Amino acid sequence: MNDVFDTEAFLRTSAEAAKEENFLIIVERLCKKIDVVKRVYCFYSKDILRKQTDKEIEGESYTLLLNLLTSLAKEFSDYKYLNSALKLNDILSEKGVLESSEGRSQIDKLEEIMKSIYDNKIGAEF
Amino acid sequence: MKKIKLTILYVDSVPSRIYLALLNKHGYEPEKILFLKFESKSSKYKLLKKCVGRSFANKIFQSVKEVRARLRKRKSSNTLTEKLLLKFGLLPTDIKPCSDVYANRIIEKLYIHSLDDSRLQHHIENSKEKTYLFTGGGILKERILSTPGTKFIHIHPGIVPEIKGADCFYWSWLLMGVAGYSVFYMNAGIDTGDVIYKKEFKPRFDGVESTCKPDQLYRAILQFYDPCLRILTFIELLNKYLENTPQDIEGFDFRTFNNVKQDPNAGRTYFFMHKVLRNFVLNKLTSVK
Repeated sequence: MNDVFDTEAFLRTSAEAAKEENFLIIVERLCKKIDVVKRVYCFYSKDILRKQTDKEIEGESYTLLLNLLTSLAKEFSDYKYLNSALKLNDILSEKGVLESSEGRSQIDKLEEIMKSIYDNKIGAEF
Repeated sequence: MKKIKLTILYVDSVPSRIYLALLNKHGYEPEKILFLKFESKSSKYKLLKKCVGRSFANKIFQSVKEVRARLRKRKSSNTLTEKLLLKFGLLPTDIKPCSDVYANRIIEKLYIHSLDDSRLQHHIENSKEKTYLFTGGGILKERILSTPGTKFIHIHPGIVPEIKGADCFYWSWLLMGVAGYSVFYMNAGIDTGDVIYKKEFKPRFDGVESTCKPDQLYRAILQFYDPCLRILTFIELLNKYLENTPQDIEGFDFRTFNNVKQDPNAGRTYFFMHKVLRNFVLNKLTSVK
């Protein structure tokens, strides 16, 4: 299936995929799925604009996506990835993919990243 | 009063009323106000309309809506509203329905179900008015935006193309430390239209209680503060036109502002902020001196 985007394969191999030119474009498109649709499906069209199945990715893949967004938020000091990670955390807590303690712990981690981004940016400005 | 060849696409809301209040305060009168009255699709409304006619049925539904809104408003802070409006020389009593701001002769009512209603499209296609100022109320679809010879102007709360999408007042402050506004001719893309004007403000919330609930503050800023900055950006554009151009603004065709095309792939589209991030931004916003 070369003419579709395989979400789970992408997430499993994201460390390698990060070297590709279009990696962040793919991440941006997945952010939109979280923010707008609140679901991520297994297969999309090649440009990740249209879903090609009604099957959502598995809990393990959702967790990989959450970890990916969290690490990108930290690496790039990026509030947009942080915002999507916060929303995905809520979705996974509701779905039961994350237990409530895991969900809370993830929020604490994301809040630390949020404050760190802000403090570093303010420091840089002044 | 300077008459301008612009039609306000008016959906009755606080932001729309603020647009009119400040345009009026700064001496501008639109050519027309196209007052979009949303008809309910409910069976109760249809029955009522059959019994007492559309106008009376709408009045009843509108009254019910206003009572509900007043009950909700009692829970929110009137002091906060006053403080936000005072920053722009406005009082809550200045925020009036369009018929209390401008003469009825320039107001035309149009009953529709939504902005997607073919009655709106039909009206715009057959209207002699050619430039509309969008004041909210939904999303205008491409078939309306592409009406030949017609332009729709929008004031977006973010500097484009860098900041597009939703909650842009807050994204703008978080990312750039300013409230940025872009005036553009709308197209079918999200905030990708041809840019006419941009302006930045330093938002100041001194005097605004940081003890009010974050949700309250979030809504109040979007309802009362942000619309003021939006329309002031547009008013500045009009004032600059007046200063720089010998042609009288009353004859100016608003479809012909100098504009710059955007690269639709440039910049980023942001989404509604998660509550955690939003509350963080509100806290920082209100602590800036």
